Parts: sequence; C-alpha cells; structure tokens
Amino acid sequence: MKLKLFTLGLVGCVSLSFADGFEEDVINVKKTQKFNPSALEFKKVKVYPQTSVSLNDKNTKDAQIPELEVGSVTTGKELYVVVKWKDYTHSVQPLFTTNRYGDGISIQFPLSYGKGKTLPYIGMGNEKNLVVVYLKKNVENRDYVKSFISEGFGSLTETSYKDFSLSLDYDKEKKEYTAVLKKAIKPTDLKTGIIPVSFAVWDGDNGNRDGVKNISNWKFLKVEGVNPDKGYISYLSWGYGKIGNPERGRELLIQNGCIGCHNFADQKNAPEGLAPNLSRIGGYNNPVYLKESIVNPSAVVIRNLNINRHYDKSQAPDKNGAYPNNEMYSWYTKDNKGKKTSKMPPYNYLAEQDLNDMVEYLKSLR
Amino acid sequence: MSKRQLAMVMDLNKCIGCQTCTVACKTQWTNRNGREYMYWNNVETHPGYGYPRNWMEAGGGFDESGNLRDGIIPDMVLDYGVPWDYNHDELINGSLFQAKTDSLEWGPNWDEDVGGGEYPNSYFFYIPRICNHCSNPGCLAACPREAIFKREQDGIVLVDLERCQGYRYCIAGCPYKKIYFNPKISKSEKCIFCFPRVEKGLPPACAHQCVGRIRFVGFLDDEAGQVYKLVHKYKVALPLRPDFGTQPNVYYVPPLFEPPKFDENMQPVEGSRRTPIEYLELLFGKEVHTALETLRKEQEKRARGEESELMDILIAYSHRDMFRLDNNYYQQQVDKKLKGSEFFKVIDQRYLQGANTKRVEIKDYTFHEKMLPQKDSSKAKHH
Repeated sequence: MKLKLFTLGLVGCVSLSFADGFEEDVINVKKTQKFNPSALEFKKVKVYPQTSVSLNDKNTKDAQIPELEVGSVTTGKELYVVVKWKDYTHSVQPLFTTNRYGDGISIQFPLSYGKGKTLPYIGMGNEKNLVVVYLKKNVENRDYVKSFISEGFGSLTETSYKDFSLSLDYDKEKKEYTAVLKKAIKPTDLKTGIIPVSFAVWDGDNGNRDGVKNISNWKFLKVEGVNPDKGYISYLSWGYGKIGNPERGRELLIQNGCIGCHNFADQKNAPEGLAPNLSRIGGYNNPVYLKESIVNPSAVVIRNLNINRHYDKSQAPDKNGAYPNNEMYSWYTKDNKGKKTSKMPPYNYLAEQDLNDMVEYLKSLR
Repeated sequence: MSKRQLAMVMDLNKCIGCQTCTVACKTQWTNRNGREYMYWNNVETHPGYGYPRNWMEAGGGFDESGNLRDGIIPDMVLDYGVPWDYNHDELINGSLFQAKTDSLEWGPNWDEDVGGGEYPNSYFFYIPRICNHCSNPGCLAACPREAIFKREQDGIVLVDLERCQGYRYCIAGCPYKKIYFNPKISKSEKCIFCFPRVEKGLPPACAHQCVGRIRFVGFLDDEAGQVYKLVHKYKVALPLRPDFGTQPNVYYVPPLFEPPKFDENMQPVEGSRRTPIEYLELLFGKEVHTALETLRKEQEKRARGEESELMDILIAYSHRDMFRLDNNYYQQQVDKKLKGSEFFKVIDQRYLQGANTKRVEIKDYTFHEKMLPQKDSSKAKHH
C-alpha cells in the first residue's frame, strides 16, 4: 500500500504546476544520502523590516539586508536548511557593554502543516497555529542557540529540543553569513511534500533585536518526489499573480475606513499602536493571510505588543496613582471563557473583486 | 495596579552624600555576576549629569496622553562609567602617577559636588536614587514579553528572569534609567526593594544603613505610618520628575535648608536662596512651593517651642517608626522576642565559623577566668 502511494506521488510530481508567481516562494528540497552542499539549489528570499508593531528604542535602525539565499536538502531523517546573506558589519554582542547587539538568524516552521491546515501568523504564530523557532545569535563567550515554541508576540517559550543544530559563520572576505540548520524530521513530515518555513535576520550593528528585524513571508520547502495535497497547495497559493487593481484597492481601503486604525504608505493619521501598521505588510505576509485578515479578522487574533504602553488618563487613577490601561489600544476583546475576538469588524460582505483589489494593493506594501 | 504599595521617603535636607546606602546595596546585590557596573542605589549631585550620565534626557516614561515615549539605552563606559586603576605598582620605577585607562572621560559619580552657581554662591544637594517602583512603570510597559511585573501585595516591580530575553526595551522605557542590562546573563535586572528583607520585616538595606536616617519606608495606605504622613498628610514628600508620568513611589522631601547668598561685599543676603526654585520645580513639580512653605512654617513653629508632628517625624527619632512594614509586624516581633542588646546576639554560630573552616575544639571556655584572682565570695556576702 505504501509503495503504491509513493509511486502515485512520483507520477503526480511530474505534472504538478503552481499558480502564477507562487513558484517564487517555493524552495526545492533534493533528497540526498547525506548532507551535500553542492546539491543545494539556492533561491533568493526577500526580507523586509518588521513594521507591524514598533518598539521604543530611539537608536535602532532598519537592517540593510534586502535578501537572503536559501537552499535545502533532506536525507530522509534530517532536514538541512542553508541560509546565506550579505552583512557588511560583523556584530557580536560583547561581554562588557550595555548597548551593543549581535547579528542573528531565526528559522521558523509551523508546528503542524499539510492538508487542511492553515498557516500560522508570520509573527511567531498564533494561538491556534503554533510555530517552532530556531534561533542563533552572535554573543561573546556563549553559544547562543535556542529553540522555542510560540503562539504569537511575547509568547516565545524556550524548549529543550536536542534534535537540531544551528551554526552561523561569517566570511570576512565575502562579508557574508552562512547559517546551517540541521533538524530531525519524521517521514510523516516529508510525506506532506511541502513544508512552510520563514526567516528572520537581525543586524546587530543597527541595534536589531527582538521585533526590530528583517523577516520574510512564508516560503515553501518542496520535497523532491512527493506530491503535496492539491487542496493545500491551492490554499497556500491563493492570490499570487495579479488578481486585481491595486489603485482601486487603495481607494477601497480608505473608503472602508481602514485608515481609522491602520497606518500605511502616505496614510498616517491613526494613532501609533492602535492597530498593526501595514506599511510593509505585503512584504512579509502571504496573500491568503491578507484576505483572511480582512474577511475574518478573528481567525488570527494578534496580541498587542504590550497593552501597558498606553494608559487612559481620562479615567481616575487608583489609590496608588496608577491609571488603568487605555482599552482603545487593545486589539481584541475577551469573553469570560477567555475567547478572544478581534476588534476589527469582519469585512465578509465585500464583493470578490473589491477584496481582490484590496489584497492586490496590500501585496504591494513592502 | 497593585493592591498595596510600599513606598520610600528620602529627606534631602539630611543627605550628606556619604554613599553608605550605595555600598550597602552594592555589597548586598551588585558586586558580582555581571552586575558589577550597576548601582541599583546611587547618590548623585544636583544640579549635575547624574547616573547614568544625562538620564533625565534619555527618554522613556509617558507623554501627556499616557503613551510610552521612546528612549535610549545608556553606554556602559560613557554613561554608566566603569572604575579604573592607577599605576601604583609602577611608581617605584619613577613613573608619573597616572590612570591605567585609555580614556578618562566619565566614571561613576564623576561630577560629585560640582553642582551649580558661581563662587561664593555655588550650591548643590544630593539625590539618592533607587528604582521608584512606579505605579505605571515605564519598564513594564516597554517589555514586549511582559517579563516585568508589579507584585500585588506591595507593588514592588520585579523582572521575571525566566521570561526576560535581554532585549533591553525596558531600559529605554524607564525614564529614571533604573533598570540595567546584565551582559553576563543577557537579561535585565533592577533594584528589588530588598524584597527578601522586606518580607522578613526588615527595611531595604539602603534605608537601614543610612547614617543620616533620611529614609522612611512603609505602605502608602498605612495612615499611622510616617510615609503616609509625609506624603499624604503634610504633602512635603514629592515624587521625582512627576512629569515623566510613571507615578513613582519614592518620594523626596525637597531641600529647604541652605546657606544664604552673599552680596558683592561678601555679606549674607537675608532670606535669599542659592538653589534656583526653577530647578526644584523641574525635579519635583509645582508642588515644591507648598511643600517648602509647609516645611518652613513647621520649622518656625518648632523653633518657637511649639509642637510639630512633621518636624518630629523628620528628626527621625527611631527606626521603629521610620520603617513600618506590614503594619508594624516587624516591630511587634522584635518587641516580643528581642530586648535591647539581645537584638544583636548571634543566634546561628555557623556563619561566624565559616562552612569550610575546621572546627577548633576548645573544651574549657573558662580558662581565662582561672587566670584572674579569685573573688572572695564570703566577704561579699557580709557586705
């Protein structure tokens, strides 16, 4: 039975073709007996400064890292992901300073993926869709390699995974980093044929750490010889290629009142932090997520970076002089069972073309 | 945010800048493990750059609408300052006395006693600073991981080191720059209001050791406590830089007493102030006027021989009244069990002995008495 499935898979693979533009986000994974760097087929991966939430250090700047090169192979038991990028400043967090930071990389995978699964939120997952994050930072005197499970901003929880390694080497001549992630992988993982993955890089010289980083959208590792589920592919590849008129989409975003809460491009009237800033939203989100977040914002409820950043001075302070938090800045409401509902109303009544035009415009924000 | 709030009041009129508090804190908490450069408690000269250098200009805190302001993270060498050594060992070879460092630009307490004004009308005063354990802490607001929390039972602000990932946004968010990055463990650390002491009924080390007895510790809602009286009843204790919007819980009795100005003939000008009131206003807000007025009136009252509860409090007669933790729980225990010099009696000999010191057996503890001339007990009885 197993053999039969495998054969079918091979046959399917030959005939598989992706929707327009989706191919760009697919990284082919060759099967090799053991890790063989020459078998790597590198693909350019664009990364963009994370601007959905802003942090409060005046001295941080955007990283000058526009793109990465990513290649991957598998031995059937291990998955190797190799990431290369140019960084003209080699930064290591020193032992005797307070305000210097190291370069770093993280690679994240959804905890579960494949047929019927939805993609986790790009910002380290969400409550329904957890992610596994592998992190390596340049820190003096320490091998700073960690793995985490996460369900969104602020939820990064360190794990004791031992089944992976992540190295980071800097070539001073080429001014280039090479990171190699080796992680154990189960045959069932490979069977899905397509493994979502995304990347983040930090440029220590520009004060990058935490949310100040350049990130990619979800990319897809396509395993050689395995035919992924068609339904899953059509879910992932929704909205690639040209699906609408971006100028009209921009007008629709303004007309529908999105600018009351969200800032993007030249629209900067909403109070900072009231809702995610959309300035580069198309750079690090896949079209299917952009659509979903308009139609059903509560499908993925993102936590505020920290609700205590805003307090309500129109309220009376408590006996110790503390003002309550300004609920206006909370991105969701919580019922007594703890269920979170996004404060953004669902725009599920939009005509299909209107929606496509809006997504087309959001895709261009990068 | 918290149910109760512990607070500290410091009487700046009595601070002599001796740094005993700084040393008490350092030896208790920050002389090790990557904290070496930190002074959770420091005493700085005002007007002055302070510690870390220019902390008042380093951002953080909240704007008028209640939104967190951006800030910066001070530099270890240029802003906090690191100690240096001198070439004492080379002097014997005829070398000139000099510091063993490439750049002598800044150090801890670099501008001590510099102050402001021109001779003979120069002026300065000291401000000891610890974490303010604010009611709306800027550090807590800035942390993207919510690793900083405010204790329900006493409002002490602490870092959860398990959650802290060393991103340092808390440092940018604290307008007092009283949370520090520990580069050894790559996490943030701060003054903990000596919570392990406080829980045992002891005041924080800085307050207990203060030779000028300038510090009062207690709960803000304890109406019988001196902290409450200074802050709420007499309103002479004011928070530092209230405009930073974090509602600090360390309060200062502003400096009232200072020598008068001298005129051109070097004659004292009666009723004059050397420290510009604008500077005190910047530090303590508009309320500083009424606070100084109250202090002046109460002082005059006491000088006339009348009763003044406020002056009696500020004289700081007894630690028992200055430190009221958990409604005098601490003092009640002391009263019950330990009287007078018994308080200082060592109860656990192991700490004096040293865990690794070989025990020297002395069986006869009375040998020295045998060397003394024997008393005639029968004679004594007759008298």
